[in-house]
Amino acid sequence: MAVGTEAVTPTAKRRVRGLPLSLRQVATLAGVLILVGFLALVPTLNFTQDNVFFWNEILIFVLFASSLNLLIGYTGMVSFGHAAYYGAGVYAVGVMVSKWGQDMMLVGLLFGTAVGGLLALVVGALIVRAAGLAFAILTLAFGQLAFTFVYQRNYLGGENGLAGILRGTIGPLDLGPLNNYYYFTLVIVFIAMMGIWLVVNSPLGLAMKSIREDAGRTQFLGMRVRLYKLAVFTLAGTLAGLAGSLRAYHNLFATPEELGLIRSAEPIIMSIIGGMGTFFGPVLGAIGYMWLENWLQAYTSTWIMWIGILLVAVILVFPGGLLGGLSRLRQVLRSRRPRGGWRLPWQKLHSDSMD
Amino acid sequence: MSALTVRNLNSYYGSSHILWNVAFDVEEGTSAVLLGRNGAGKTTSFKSIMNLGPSVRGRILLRGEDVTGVPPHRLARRGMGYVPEDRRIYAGFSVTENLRLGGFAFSSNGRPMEPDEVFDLFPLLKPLAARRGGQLSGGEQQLLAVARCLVGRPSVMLLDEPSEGLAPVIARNVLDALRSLRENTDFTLLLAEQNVSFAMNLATHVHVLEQGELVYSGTKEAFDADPALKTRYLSL
Amino acid sequence: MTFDELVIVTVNGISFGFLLFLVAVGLSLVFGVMGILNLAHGAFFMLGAYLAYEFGGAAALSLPLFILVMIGSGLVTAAIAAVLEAALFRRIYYREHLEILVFAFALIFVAEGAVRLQWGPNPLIMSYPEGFASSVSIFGAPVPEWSLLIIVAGLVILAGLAFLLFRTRIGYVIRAVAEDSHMAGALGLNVGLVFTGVFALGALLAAIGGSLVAPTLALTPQLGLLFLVQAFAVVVVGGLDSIPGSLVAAIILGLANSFLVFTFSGWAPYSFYLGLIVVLLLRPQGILGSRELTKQVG
Repeated sequence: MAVGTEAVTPTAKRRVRGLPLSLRQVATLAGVLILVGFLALVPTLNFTQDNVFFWNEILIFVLFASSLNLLIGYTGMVSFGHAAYYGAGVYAVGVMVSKWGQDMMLVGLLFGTAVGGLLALVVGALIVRAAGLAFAILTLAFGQLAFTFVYQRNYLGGENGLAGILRGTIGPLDLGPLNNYYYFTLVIVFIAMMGIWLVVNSPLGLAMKSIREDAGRTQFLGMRVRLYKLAVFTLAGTLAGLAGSLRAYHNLFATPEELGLIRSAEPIIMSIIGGMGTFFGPVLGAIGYMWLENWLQAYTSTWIMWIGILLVAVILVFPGGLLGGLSRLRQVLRSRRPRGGWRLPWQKLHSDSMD
Repeated sequence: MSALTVRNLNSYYGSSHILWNVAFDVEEGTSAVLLGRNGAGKTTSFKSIMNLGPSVRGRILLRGEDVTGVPPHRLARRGMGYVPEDRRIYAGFSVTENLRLGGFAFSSNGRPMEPDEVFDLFPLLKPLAARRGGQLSGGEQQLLAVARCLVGRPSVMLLDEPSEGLAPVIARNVLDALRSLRENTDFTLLLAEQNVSFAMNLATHVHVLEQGELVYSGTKEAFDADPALKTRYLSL
Repeated sequence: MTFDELVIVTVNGISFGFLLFLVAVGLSLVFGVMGILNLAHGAFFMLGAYLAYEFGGAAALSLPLFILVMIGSGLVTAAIAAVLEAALFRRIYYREHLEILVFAFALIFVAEGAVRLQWGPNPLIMSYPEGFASSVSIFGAPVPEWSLLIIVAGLVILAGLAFLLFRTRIGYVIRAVAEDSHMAGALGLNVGLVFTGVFALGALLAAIGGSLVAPTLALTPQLGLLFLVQAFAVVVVGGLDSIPGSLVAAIILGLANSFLVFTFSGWAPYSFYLGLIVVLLLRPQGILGSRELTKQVG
């Protein structure tokens, strides 16, 4: 089985004196502390409300991109329609608040999350038997179906979407003010990310990685691949639903774009930039992408071209994104293997056919 | 003069190191055979020489010229012919069309062989001219693969396990065709085989690969004189 | 549904089908030879439409002039595509599907930005060629002339492509590379050159599709995504590596869409996606395709 990007290398296992942790773990922990500390300080850093709104959106995308990373990065199930489950969360909250008049936020969040998960369960049950490109195209088709559905339904506001979503209270917490909601989002996203961390480091995570490496062989070893795939698809959909519910209370609008092709592409782009299949890749990718997009939009109307160029460059020059690039650099420094000179597409197709 | 020279050839697939410092020469007009068990590195050697996949370190010379890293189609046009283990006949093309494809390897003065000239060398193929590649038997496909390579008039032919997967009597036919070919046409042959008796019918020189390393090089006579070699490296 | 309506809906459906075929056939060709699904096709389609506007302008042209404009737009797009293939795409064929798809998608972004830079964000309107803005009568029913012209153009291009692939030496080489690029290289065929050529040919076809669409709608920088999913549906439903499959699928989907718009218009926007889903679940290789997509292709 091929070695994944997260393989523990001997040097990474080196212990720091006096601590029961490896160097790598200490560095990771420090990074997380700095990041969370910074995020916690965002509302107090003399930023405007717009900036808090912006960072709140980043937090939501961190969760959204990480949920997709479970599918694509860890399990190798490429989805081009993940926005359907995110958008289902957005619209579930929208319908609940603006149509049914339900103003209990906790109920709204749970409902949105559940709707995202249920939709993923139903769609997943139909499509997990497909693999590779077929699976990817099926997710795209279902994503577009969902988009068309909300776009067409007058009940859901058609192309205008649903307005009238309001934040309320959860127990003693008043989440009306943006700063309060920001902290609430930070806590929820942090907890969800810890959940993802636990999953990818659990036996399920191991099963996911082995499906990614070789689904056929994994099945041969007696694992029930489809069941695992369905579980991962549902989990990813649930987390996307949670991100969508948070988004509904953040933007206070439900619009069809939340299910669009671009919305499905964004978390993929974020994960590719940050490093697909690594835990922190989508986190850094989401922050980097959102920040960059925001910055470019302020300067140029052709920002999308620069995003495109960046993406082309990352895929060509830094396959594996920021984090993948780092670990690759380490590997290159360690091994003196020559680079293959002449490359044509058959290389991948035939590289496994030794004599 | 040496038609093909391999020096310090190291080959890799991904992170696995397959060939280790393989070096040998094939003299012009001779028939060398690369012997070895399954997985010894015979096909990888050919693919490395032909630049078809593995990452390679080392040097490959074709009639004295360094051709390391040259793309396969240029190698073919410079006279390196390759008949792969799995033959790779174009199933959707007729026998004649398959033969004409071999002509693309030809670019020096003169002209590639016409199908009729090929049929003179391989009379068995003649009645099959209009048949599609996918409809041929294994033995017929093997003959066609060799014939297709000859159309481009190669100076060196890399012939990978022609006897593989053929019933003994069919393998005999293929062998007869190859032997008459050696008598009637002029090229240098590098053959990969694990079937020793098949190979010995054609070989003038023997090289033995084991686990990616070249463990023996010598003439056919010297190899035959030492039966211990066969039991040591080649018996299953 | 009256008889007139039946004629109009049928002709419109077939015409839409041929248009989709023109957009999709390049995708199918490129997949058949290189084994990649080139989403950048949407960018070439858009470029074709904008270049037609650039060369032809907003005013009505005579038909021969329009055809010349269309060919010019196609050739320029093909040249750009050839450069892109040789400089960029070549480096990623052996990568995972995801990277190839996202890479091509990123090129649509780049194209969108480039079009904004060159032509601005406002919609551009191109005229129908002289005498093609009206309708002709078929069995007494008024049918838009442009719809008929698209059908004719589709047939001409289909015939041209069939001739190229099955009656010329170039086609022989392309088919050999499509069947086994590995061996083709070992036999002395310049596979890289064939890849560049096929990629450019696909772009040329997309650009011609774009030029033919240009008079029928307002050109905007988002045009690259407009037909992409539909074209995608066409090639997948027809069988990714099958050009006849693309034609059959394009016409089925075009007709289905046309009839749904007329009868249950609420269902029309779903038709392509439902078609995709049904085919992929029941027949993953598509109507006429041979490659099983359930397996990892590359």
